[in-house]
Amino acid sequence: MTRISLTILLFSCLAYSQNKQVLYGFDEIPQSLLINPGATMTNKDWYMGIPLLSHVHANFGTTGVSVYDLFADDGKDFNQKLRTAINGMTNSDFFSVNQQLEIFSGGFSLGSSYETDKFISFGMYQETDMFIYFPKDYAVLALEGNQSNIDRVFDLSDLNVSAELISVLHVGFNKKMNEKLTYGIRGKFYSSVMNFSSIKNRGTFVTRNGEDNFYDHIFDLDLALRTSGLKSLLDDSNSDASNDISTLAKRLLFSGNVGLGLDLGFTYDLSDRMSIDASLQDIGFIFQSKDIENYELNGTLVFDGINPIFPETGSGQTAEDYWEGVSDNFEELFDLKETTTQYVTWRPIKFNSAIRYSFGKKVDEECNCIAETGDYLNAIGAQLFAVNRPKHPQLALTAYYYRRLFDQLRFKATYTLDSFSYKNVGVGVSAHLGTMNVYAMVDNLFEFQNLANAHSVSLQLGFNLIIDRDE
Amino acid sequence: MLRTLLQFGCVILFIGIMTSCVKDVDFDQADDLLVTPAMEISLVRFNEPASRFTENGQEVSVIRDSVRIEIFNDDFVVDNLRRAEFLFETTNSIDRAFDAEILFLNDANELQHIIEFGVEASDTNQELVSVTEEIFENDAIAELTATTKLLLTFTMQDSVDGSLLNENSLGSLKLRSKGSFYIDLIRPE
Repeated sequence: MTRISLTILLFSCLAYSQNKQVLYGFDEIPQSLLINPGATMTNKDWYMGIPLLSHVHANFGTTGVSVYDLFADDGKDFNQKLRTAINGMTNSDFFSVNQQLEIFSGGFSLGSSYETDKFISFGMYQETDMFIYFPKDYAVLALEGNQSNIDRVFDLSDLNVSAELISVLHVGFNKKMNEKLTYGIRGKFYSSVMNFSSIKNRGTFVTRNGEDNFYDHIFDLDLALRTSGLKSLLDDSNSDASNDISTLAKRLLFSGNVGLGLDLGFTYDLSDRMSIDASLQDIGFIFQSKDIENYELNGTLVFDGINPIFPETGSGQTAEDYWEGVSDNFEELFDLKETTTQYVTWRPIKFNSAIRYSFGKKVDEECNCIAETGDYLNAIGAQLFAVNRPKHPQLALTAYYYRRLFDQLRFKATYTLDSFSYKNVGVGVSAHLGTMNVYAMVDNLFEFQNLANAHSVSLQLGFNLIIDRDE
Repeated sequence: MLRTLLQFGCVILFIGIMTSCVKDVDFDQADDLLVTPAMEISLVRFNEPASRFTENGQEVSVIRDSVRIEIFNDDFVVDNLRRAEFLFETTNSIDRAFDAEILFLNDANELQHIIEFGVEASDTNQELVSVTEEIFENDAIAELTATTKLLLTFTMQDSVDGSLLNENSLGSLKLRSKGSFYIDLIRPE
C-alpha cells in the first residue's frame, strides 16, 4: 500500500503554487514557519517532519494560454489557435514553475519551564524555480517574419528566462517578546545545483524602407545568458543519466556555488481578536563561481544589401571582397562570446502579510455556556502576497475563513485574486491525531474540473510528528 | 496511528484526483503545426554614375561582378523554402540602354538559373524606373537552393547616334533588389 500511495502522493504533488496562501498563517502546521519565521508557535514543544514527506509543494502557473486553449479537441485549426494564443499574449505574460521538497525538518521550544518563549526550527529543502516571460516579439518574428512587420521594432529584451535548482539548509529562531508581539528570523545557506539566467537582454531588430536599397535591416544586439552547474553536465562524455543524477545529488549538499539568505517576520496582536503579521522570505543571494559558462551576443549592424564593385572599371575590390567584409560583420555580430565570469544571482524575495479577526468561542457542553478561556474557533482575514520577478512583482490578494472543527481538525478556505485568475478558491485541512499531523491543501478548486484549462493549480501536503507542550 | 493518517491522506488525495479531470485534449494536433513566416531581405544594390562606363577616355561597355550568397544554400532554407520572389528595380538616367544578366551558380560554377532583363535608355536623363520580378516555386526552388553565387553582368548597348560616353556624361544606373522568402516550417518527424 505504502509504495503505491507514495507514488500517487508524489505524482499528485508534482502538480502545481508559488503563493502558499492556504498554508500562510496556518500556525498549527510547523511548515508555516518557513513562510513566516515570526508565526506564533503557541503550544508546540517539539516537532519533526517525516523525512521527504513533511512538505511537498509544487506550482505551475501561466498567465497566458492554458494547455486546453491550444490542445482542446474541438475541431478548430491548431495553427489558428496557436496564432490566436500568440497574438493574445503580451511580453508580460509568464510561465512559472516552483517546486519544493523538504528533506528533513524539526523544531523545539526553549525557555524556562514555566514559560517557553523561544522556538528553534531547522531543516533542509530542495527548491526548483523557473520563470519565463513570453518572448512575444521573437514569437511574432518567427511566426510572421518581417514582411508584414516593416518598421516594427522587435524588442529583443522580450527574452527573459531564469531557472535554478538549489538546496537550502536553514535554522530559524522564533521568540515571543510579550503577550502581543512574536518575531522570528531564519538564516539560510543556499547551495546551487544549477542556474541559468538570461534576464538583462537589450536590443532591437527592425527592417525599414531604405534609400539605397529596398530595406535597411538594423541589428542592435546586447544579449547574455549566464549558466552555472550546466557546463560539466553537458560536456561530460558519459551518456548515463544516473551518473548525472548522482552528481546532482552531491551538489545538493555542497556545490561550491553557495549563498546566504535571511527570512524575517512578526505577528502582533492588536487585541484579543485582531492580529496582524508580515514576513519577508529569501532576502539572499548566491555567488555563482564554479562551473560557469556564459554567452554574450552584442554589436550593431545595418545591412542594406551587397554592393558589387565591378572590378574591371575601378578599385580592385570585387563584390566578393565586399561580401567577405559584410559576412565578417555578420559573423562578428552573431559570434557568441563565451566567458566564465563569476556572477551573483538574487533569490526572488517574497513578501507576505495578513490581518486576522477571530471570533466564536467553543460552547462548553457541561454548562451550556461559552468557554471563558481557550482559542476562538473561527477567523477571517485578508492576506497580501508579492514576489519579486525580473520585470514586475507578482501580486496576490487573498481573503480567507478559518475554522477549528473538533480538536483534531483545522480547516481553511481561501479566495485569491492573482495574475493567473480572479476565481481562485482554495481549501486546506490539517488533522492532528495524537502526535501525528497531516495536512493537505489545494487551490484553484474550480480548475480541477478541467486541469488542462488551469492557469495555475496547487496541491501541497505533508506529514509531521508534533508534541504539544501540555501533552 | 501512522497507518490511519496515511489512509486519511490517501482518501483526500483520492477525492482530489477523482473529482479532477482533464477534458478532451489532443496533443497530436501538434503534428499539424505549420509556421509560415515571410522574410524580406535586401539583396544586391549599386548606383553607378555614367562615368563608371568609361576608363581613360574609352567606353567600357560591360561591367561584371560576382557575389557570394550562402544563405540560399543554408540547411534551414533548403529544407523549408516554399517560394521565393526576387525583385530587381533599375533606375536609369543615362542615355544608353543596358542588358542585364544575372546568373545563379553553384559552388562548381555550374549554371542553375538565369534572369535577363533590359534597361531602357533615358534620352533626356530623366530617371526611368523598371522592375523585373522572378519567382522560384516548385522545381525551381532546387535551382535557388543549389546557388551559392550570383554573377551580375550589365552590358551597355551602343548609342543610336554613335555618340560615346565620357567622364562628364550625365546620369547614373541604379539597381535595387530584394528577395521575399516564404518559409513553410512543419513539425520535424
